[in-house]
Amino acid sequence: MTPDRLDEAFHSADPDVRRRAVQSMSLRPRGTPLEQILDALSDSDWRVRREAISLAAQSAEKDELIDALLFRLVETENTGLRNASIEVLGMIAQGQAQKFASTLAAAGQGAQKFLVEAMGKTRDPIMIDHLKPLVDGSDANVAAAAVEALVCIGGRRAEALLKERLSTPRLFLRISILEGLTRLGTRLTWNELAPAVDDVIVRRIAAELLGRTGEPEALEFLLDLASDPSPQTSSAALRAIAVLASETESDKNELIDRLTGSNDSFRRAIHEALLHGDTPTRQGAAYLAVLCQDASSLEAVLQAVADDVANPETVAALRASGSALIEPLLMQRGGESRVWAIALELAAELSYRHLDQVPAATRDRIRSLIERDLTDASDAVRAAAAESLLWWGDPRDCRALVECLRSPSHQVRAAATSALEGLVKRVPVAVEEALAEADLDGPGGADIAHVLSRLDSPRAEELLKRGLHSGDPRTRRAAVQALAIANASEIAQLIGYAVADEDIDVQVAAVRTLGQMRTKEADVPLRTALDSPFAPTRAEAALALGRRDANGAIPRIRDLLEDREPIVVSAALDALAWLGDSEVATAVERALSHADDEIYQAGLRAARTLPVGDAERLVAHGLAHSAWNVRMLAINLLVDLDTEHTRKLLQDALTDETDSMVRHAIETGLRLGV
Amino acid sequence: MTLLHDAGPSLELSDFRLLRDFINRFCGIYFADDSAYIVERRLRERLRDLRVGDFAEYYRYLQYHPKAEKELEAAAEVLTTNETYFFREAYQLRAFTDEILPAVRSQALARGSKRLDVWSAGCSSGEEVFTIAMLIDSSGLFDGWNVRVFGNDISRRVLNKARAASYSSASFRAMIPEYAKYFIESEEGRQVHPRIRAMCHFGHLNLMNERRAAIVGRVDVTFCRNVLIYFDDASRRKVLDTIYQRLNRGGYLLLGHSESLLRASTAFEITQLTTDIVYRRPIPFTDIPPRLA
Repeated sequence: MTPDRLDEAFHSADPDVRRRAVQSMSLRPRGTPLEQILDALSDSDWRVRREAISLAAQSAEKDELIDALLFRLVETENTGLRNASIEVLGMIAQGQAQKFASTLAAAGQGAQKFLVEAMGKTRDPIMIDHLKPLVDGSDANVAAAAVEALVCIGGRRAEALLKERLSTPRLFLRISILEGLTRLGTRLTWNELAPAVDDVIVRRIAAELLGRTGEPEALEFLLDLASDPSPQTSSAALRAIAVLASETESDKNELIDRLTGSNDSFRRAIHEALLHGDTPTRQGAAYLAVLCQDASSLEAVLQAVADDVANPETVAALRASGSALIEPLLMQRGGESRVWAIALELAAELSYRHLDQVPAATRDRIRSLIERDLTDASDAVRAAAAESLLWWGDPRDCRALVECLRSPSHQVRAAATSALEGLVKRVPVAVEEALAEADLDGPGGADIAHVLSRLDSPRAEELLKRGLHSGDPRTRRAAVQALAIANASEIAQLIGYAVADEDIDVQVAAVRTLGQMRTKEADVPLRTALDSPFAPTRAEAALALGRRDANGAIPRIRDLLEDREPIVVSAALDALAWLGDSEVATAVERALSHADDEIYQAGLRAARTLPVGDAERLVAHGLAHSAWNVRMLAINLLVDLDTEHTRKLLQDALTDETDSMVRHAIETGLRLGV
Repeated sequence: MTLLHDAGPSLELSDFRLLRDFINRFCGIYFADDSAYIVERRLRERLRDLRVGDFAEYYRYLQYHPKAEKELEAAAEVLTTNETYFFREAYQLRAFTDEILPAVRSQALARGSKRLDVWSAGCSSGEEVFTIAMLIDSSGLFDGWNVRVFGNDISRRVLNKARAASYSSASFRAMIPEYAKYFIESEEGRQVHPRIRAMCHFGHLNLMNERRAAIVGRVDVTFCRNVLIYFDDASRRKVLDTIYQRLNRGGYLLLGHSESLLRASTAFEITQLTTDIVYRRPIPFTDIPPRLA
């Protein structure tokens, strides 16, 4: 973007244009004047401010910027600017404790807490000395902010300072400290915590810390707390016990015995929490109930699964249960339909996995329940019955499953599709026969096409061709996708018509399918797709032609570099790189000065295809990008190049990189290089 | 796909982060890395519905598809948790009735106004909105006043439920018997009395859209309970800025009991009531009559 266009964009009425302008500035941060940075930080739109924060963090005039921000932090009523100032100071004001101290001394009471917040955000341990008197000061708001700042800074000194004040008689301060230590991940001992938990509110807040001690006294305390009449306190205790249980490994059986042997009031608390708790509480309670094998809570546990509340550990524990759970599961019949759906499916799975331990009568009962429930009024139950046929299905079930594909319920159709896919592997002829008369124009047309694609037979192909005429675009799309298995020129022509489909998703599927076909007849419709009014279709066509080595399409694909849609420009650049276009290097240079992440990333990918020296230089640009995923791509490309220079670049990048996932990618890449 | 089994494409951590951040920018909801399984499970439904092959393609769909805006709303809808019931967190409601309502009444009268506005930010299916209206009505402090309780949510589905105002037993798990008079039995369940419904208004509003939030006007009290727990710090701060701007000076903000008292926003002042700790938009020193200053 030229400076004039940038300036124009910066003053645009459209916040997204301003955001992109500020994002562009961050590609040359040292050339951005201080006043412009401050203007961007006080923008009325938060997205612009978010970009401005990254820009400010890279400013060359750091001292002046800190002075200006400290001044604004104290004076401004603009909350957006205030928050942005706090963020930026947090990023750049390390080693400036003295400046903060003198501003604090001159600031009014209301502004002090903002300064304190910024001090915390710097994560500079030197700030601790200045925060300490504020924690002990008389203003509760400033003291709370100072505790929060210490938590942000973290480390042993901050933690020790908070721990020393754990038993403060100022209740609000004690609550703040306990919350802070919880977030710091501090592990206190029972002896340290016990004196602080003499108050009913404090106990609730300290529950997580108590759980973390892992000590038997704390567990006993939490078990008592779990029976507290206050639902908030009981819930906090149950959550803490659940964490304690999931983190315990070596003494797990001992812990399970203790929980299993606990009194009725604990089980009642679990039950109550399962029924009435908030999401994290129900999550914890469900896990504890499964761990304790508390049959009286089975229905409530299944309800938690039905509500999508149970975590994967709980579901895995249920599925790992033995055959003893089958009868209690079958007893859920007649209850809430979603609970029964889960019970039926789980019973079907467990009985199949433990075939030798399940009496024949029980197996027959399950089989007949499945058959009956395939026509149940509840979608969840029908879906569960259909899914159960993954284990228990045989040829006679195919017609019933195809019937399920007519259901308006997406859930039922998905389960029936899954079961039919399983049966295709075992009894393909029965599935094909059942599908012969299936209604491709019905709600399950797309699912039928999906199953047909697994059959790989002439009859299935004929049926799929019928699907191309369906009135439902989802069926047409699925038929187009399914026909990718065929490679005949006649089919390519049929799919070519779909490039002109009125539905964009059918168009995209057709272009993609044609791109996978080896027949020449696919080229013509693909080229026409480059002129589609829909950007995703143009983009997909460029990619398909690029993959097909369609060199003749290069001039037209070059035109797409001027397209107004980033997705099209990005695809065109990828395609030209694959085709080895001689003008790619110029396109790369332009892409790497573009504000759009997609185009920038395509520029990096295309740069990788250039001669090694150019590739190293251009891909290295990406290491300084503000978006983590762009840096990640640059790293992967540099790892792929694997030269002495790229290894050095990666080593340097490791020094500055703050994103844990990107750091991990660099470390892995360096190890692979070694 | 059933309630128990959920096969489908896996959500790689990098795609999770891109999707998580994209959705976060749209509506503020934030998922930590250890909650990726929830996003994977809930968004698979969207992938199946759109016949999109994997999460990377879904991310591109959200960015570039002509129907992306509609899809983003659908994604937010499946990812939001809607869990509420009447008279949730009773101790806080006691503070509202016993201390906050008399205080805001005095403030309004001092402004020469007989109007009370309460906002339930992220109201889900409406139980909180109606609870607030019932508490105001039964307090007797605002008889003859212009009282409005406004609830907003990002989910159109729950707003439809709120407008219908009919509830099943799960919504009454913490019901206080003396308020039963505010319900009438109907075929769909227990329905909120028309007099209470007339005080309540609902709107489709994304809390991250600060401009649209102006619809709410100025309010005396905002309830934003168990909403911000699903947001990241930056979004939380942004929403709290909006709430701050919408509150009258001296107006109150009530957060859920499990929400931190500290990390919300330093712009508010912390106020210790008899049974609760709440936030308040400060009254500038110059606005306080000399006798009280």
